[in-house]
Amino acid sequence: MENISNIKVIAQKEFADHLKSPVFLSFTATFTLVVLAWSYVQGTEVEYTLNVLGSPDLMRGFEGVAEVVGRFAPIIGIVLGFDSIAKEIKSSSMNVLLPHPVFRDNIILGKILGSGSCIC
Amino acid sequence: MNKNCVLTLAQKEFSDKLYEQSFFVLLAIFMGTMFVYLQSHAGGDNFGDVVQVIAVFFPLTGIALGYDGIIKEKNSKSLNVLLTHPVFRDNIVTGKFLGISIILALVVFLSLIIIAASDFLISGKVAEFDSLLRLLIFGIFTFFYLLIFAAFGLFASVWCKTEIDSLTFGVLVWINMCFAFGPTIIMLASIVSGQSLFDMTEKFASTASLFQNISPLHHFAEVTNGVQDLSFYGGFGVQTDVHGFLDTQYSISYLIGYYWQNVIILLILPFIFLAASYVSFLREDI
Repeated sequence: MENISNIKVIAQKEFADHLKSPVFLSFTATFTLVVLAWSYVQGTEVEYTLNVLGSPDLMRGFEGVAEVVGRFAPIIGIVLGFDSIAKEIKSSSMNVLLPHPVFRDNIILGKILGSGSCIC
Repeated sequence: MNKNCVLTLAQKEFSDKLYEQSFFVLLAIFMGTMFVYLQSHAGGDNFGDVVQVIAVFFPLTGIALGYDGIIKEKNSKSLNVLLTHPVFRDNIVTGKFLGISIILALVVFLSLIIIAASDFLISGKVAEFDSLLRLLIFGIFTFFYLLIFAAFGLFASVWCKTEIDSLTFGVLVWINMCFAFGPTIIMLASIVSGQSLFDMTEKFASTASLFQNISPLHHFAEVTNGVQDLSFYGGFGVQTDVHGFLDTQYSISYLIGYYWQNVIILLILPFIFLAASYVSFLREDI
């Protein structure tokens, strides 16, 4: 039970850290821009095929957006995870964290849960 | 005195990078990509795919060369030791820039020479002076295009507090310039002109061309391929008769006259980032 509350606290901290991090925010903004711009282009293409050729091919636009999401979403995932443990070790906060009654697996689980909630 | 300092720093930066594993990785990636693309398109004269790969993916190698230039010295405290010697701050930035330029030139021209030589040997084509000269011009433009991003990386290394921040900033600019830029321009041009891409109107094309001028990718695409945009997603371009400096239908002097604006911007941009690095570094409290 104590372990679960430890994990929850670490996840909460990780989630809050990510939300305030300029790196995460700027990558999210870039990702949103890519998806928005690409959706717009796809939308005009669907409108064109609808008006000129008369064939309503609505799912085609969504396929294009799904492709862009599929290629760019991994970058957001990597940004969330790439320095989560290394940062703690480098800033020596890991040395402060581990003397507390927190196991190493709790830390990893908390980090994953925090990053996962951000992706959600 | 100053010139000696700059040369010594450039020499140190050059030899540091030369002995790093990253140099060989860079050389292998550059050469491998060009070789594979050239061989897979052997027989055809479609060089466009190679140019697109260079234009879209290789700026990351430029950023990788420059992103830790100053910040590495700052974090390892060797900058403090360096500054106690009679070396000015601008000498340090110039030396780093020069060192990075030499290593980049080595990567670009070494791979071009090896690739062109092996291509001529394998295919049995006759190497004419004109085509060799055009390849050299292509190499020069590629060098300056990548140098823009290397100089930007150097600027980020002065401006950011940690190496991770500097690299992240560089990668962010790379994604925006090489992937997000194409569709964003189409969206903006469409909103501003009130026309859609598929209406194919003059108003839309001229608005999009106007916006594209802010991207180095556009100028590189113009001089090498004669297209307006090589962005990976949704590049937009108007068909033209002239296809860059690799188009053998036109003489080099005609092409210089035709593309002089793009050429000048490509040559100037690295020095603008160098100037930005100077300003940023001179104002910094170390």
